Amino acid sequence: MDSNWAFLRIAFKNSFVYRSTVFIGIFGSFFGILAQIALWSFIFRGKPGTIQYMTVYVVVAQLLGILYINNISDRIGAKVRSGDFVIDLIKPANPVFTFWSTSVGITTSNMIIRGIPLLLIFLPVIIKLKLDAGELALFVVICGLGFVMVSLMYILIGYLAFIVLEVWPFVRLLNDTVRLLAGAVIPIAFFPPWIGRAVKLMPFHLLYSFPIRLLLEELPPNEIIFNMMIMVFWIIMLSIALKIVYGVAVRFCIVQGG
Amino acid sequence: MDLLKLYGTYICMFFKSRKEYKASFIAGIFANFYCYLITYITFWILTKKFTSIGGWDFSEVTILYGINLFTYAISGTLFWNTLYFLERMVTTGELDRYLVRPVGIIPQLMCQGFGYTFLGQILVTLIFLIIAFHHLIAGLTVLKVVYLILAIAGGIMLQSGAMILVGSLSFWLLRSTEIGQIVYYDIRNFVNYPLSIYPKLVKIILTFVFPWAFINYYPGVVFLGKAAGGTFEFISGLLAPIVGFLFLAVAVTLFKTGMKRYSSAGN
Repeated sequence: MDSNWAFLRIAFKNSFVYRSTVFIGIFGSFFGILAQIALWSFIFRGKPGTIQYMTVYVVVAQLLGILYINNISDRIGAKVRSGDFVIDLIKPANPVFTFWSTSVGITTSNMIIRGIPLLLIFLPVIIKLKLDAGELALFVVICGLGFVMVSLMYILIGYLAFIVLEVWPFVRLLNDTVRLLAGAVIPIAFFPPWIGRAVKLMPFHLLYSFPIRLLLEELPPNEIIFNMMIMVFWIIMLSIALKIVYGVAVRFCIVQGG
Repeated sequence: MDLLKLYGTYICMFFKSRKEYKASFIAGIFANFYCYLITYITFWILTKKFTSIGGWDFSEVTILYGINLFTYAISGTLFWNTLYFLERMVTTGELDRYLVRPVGIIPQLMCQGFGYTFLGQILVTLIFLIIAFHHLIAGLTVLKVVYLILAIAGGIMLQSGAMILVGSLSFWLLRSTEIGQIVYYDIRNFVNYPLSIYPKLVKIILTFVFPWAFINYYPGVVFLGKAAGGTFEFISGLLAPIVGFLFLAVAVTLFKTGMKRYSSAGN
């Protein structure tokens, strides 16, 4: 446990090293949000309530993106490709938990250096939501479950490096699929009905659409409980898949000597 | 002619070397194909739900976005891997080895880093552009087709100029890709939608400060006959190929000026 905490702290500190990258990240997110707000403001011109809804939607979706997206797959892939992976095996810590701790460290620093400034910039809009503490706590729990789900997906993709040379195309496939099917860019309510129904059968909407709707709409309690149970179900399934993949990977890994 | 032959030789060598890693090669192209397919689907969903975006229907938005993406991808295959990331060579001194060869530095760098992943973007864009043109075929004239070819050439020159310009900044700043991320990528994202949906300030910035609107928006106004844009937009559209040429010329001049400052990094 102590070693995992150490990895988390190292990853957290490393993220602050390149300060200019941090500022660029904030600017990038800001321009991305502005472009989307401009689009929705034009589409819903004359409807201030809907514009406010969409503004909060865009900002929260961007914040969730900062929470979910990290480079853990690439880190795992690089270690597998270089053979450094074998050094992790002789350390007194489970490599999966080490990667997981690193992921938490990166995400925490991302939230502080990129998420909080964005939150402060758009606070006047978000504050109008008048959220109660219970709703906010539930939102945090759901985001936490979402983070676990996404991290498990990223770690699984990272271990693909045992069979392919580069993992970035697969990370990109996951990110782009989530971008569309989770409702990160366009709310699922705007999808043609048949696509909307199909999307609801997949787990991705639980990552963006569900927590954002929880903040913006009155969701029935049974829908909230059902969705959270589905998230837990996916976490269990992905954990089992990871355990199997990791076991197979360790058994068959070949490390170049020197 | 010699340059074309040299480029052909490099491309052949590149494909031979990538044969070793077929799965990664295909995965790289497919990832880009899929990424931009998702963007086109996003436009389709938006225009299906709201009929149009700022008066531009799906075919028109496809052409608008398609010109931006197609010209970016063509320039990317040529310049992205090397000139856009020139900071790597400038900070490590790797640029030295290009100085001792009997070919210009920009042509060498162009040959060196073939951006194969952009083939995915080119493929998906061609598919959507062909579908969009098919819908607009009744209104096509020879003059319009000639104009479109010139506008695309202008767009390629503008995008290539932007990549060279971002890379050239590293002669003075050492790190330039982070500035490129904001100025070239984040701000250029605004031209994915018609400029008519934005406040006036955004239009001014995208026309006079960072002229990305000349890549696709103004040519789109002329080609699609979006008269609502007014005379200024129409004239800007006609001038777009010239703007592209001038932008590339400025970028190449800046690169050459920067080369005079280059003092290598040593070992």
